[in-house]
Amino acid sequence: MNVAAFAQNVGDISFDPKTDDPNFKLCNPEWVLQTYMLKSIADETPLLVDREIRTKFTPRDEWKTENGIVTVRFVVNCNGQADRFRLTEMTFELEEKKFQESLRTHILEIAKSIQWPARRARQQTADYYHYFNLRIVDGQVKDIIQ
Amino acid sequence: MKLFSTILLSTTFFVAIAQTKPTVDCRDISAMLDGLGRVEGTARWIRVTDSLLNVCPNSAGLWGDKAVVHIVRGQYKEGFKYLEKAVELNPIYYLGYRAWYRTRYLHDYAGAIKDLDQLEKVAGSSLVYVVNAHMYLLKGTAYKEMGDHKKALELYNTAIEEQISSKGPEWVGLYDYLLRGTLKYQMGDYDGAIADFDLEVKQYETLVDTYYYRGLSYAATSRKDEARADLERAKELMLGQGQKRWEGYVTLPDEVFLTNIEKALLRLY
Repeated sequence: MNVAAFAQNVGDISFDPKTDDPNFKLCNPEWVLQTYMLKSIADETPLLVDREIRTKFTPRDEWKTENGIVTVRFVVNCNGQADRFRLTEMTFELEEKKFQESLRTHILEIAKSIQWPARRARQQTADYYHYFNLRIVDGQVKDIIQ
Repeated sequence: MKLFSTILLSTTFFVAIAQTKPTVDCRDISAMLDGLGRVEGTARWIRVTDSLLNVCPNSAGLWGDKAVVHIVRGQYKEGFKYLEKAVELNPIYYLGYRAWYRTRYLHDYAGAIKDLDQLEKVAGSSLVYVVNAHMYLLKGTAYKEMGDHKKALELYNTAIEEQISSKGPEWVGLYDYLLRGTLKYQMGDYDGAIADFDLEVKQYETLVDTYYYRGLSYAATSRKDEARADLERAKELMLGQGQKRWEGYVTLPDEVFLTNIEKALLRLY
């Protein structure tokens, strides 16, 4: 299956052999939804994510000058496995920027360590795109937007 | 003569075609896109939107729609760039929208306040609704999130009073008393909070949030039985037929989760 062929809707993430797990499979590559299409009022994922990030994020002295927003986007398959993590880094004015590699790696490791929930649509589990944002102020996680 | 007639006929034909060529009213273009039965963000939707933008490059609605599609899918740089274009074309509508998106998706409260100040200037009034709420409700929330509770309360008060005095009490927004009550609770004014929650219950009886925060306010004033009753009611509504202040896209400030209610109940026992 040429997954890249389907990377055409806004926000789609195509397979990158340099970074992504070749064994990661989408259950239905032609029908990957967005989280906002699948959430319910009973969903407590934001509490879990908030707790996970705040307990796992360990600031370092070398990051003290780091400021801006990091968006972490990825895809979760129908079995609740996540892959194709992508980081977008911006200043608070939404200009492109790059954070230190060690900070990027730390954020990615945390995102990958979270057990993202399998979600359902039309009486079956579905693949979906998800993202969250961190506001980094002086190298610390000031705010989690999700 | 024959040649002259042919030229004349051809010219007439092309003029006729030019005159009957359908024109597009760009004011309706965003609504026309709605009429296509859109699935926002799909490749087809983007193709259609971009084609329409070629015809109507000054349609604020199209730029606004394109912005929203990108923002809700986490493409902020692109989304806010398109939103800027929409603001340039229709500031009175999109300044408020941008403020709303700044608070929800970026937690950029200072930027939102700047947009709302500009909106008030352009509109010549503060009685402007942004996503169904008085603009001062949004501005108050921005101040609250920045830690300025006093300024937030001042703005909430003005928003509610202005709606009552200029339009009538039925114009007070669906969540206005809830927002002010929650702020008063956070400021330690528990009686004031309870009074607002009583008003909120009257206009929205099945809203989980009101019972949760009123329960906390009762608990803070040692009215344990009333606190328990409200928190139990909040839980029942959350698990049953109630509603909560909620958006599928992003978590709201002071959003209530079942876990919050259960923890509050445990603290009571």
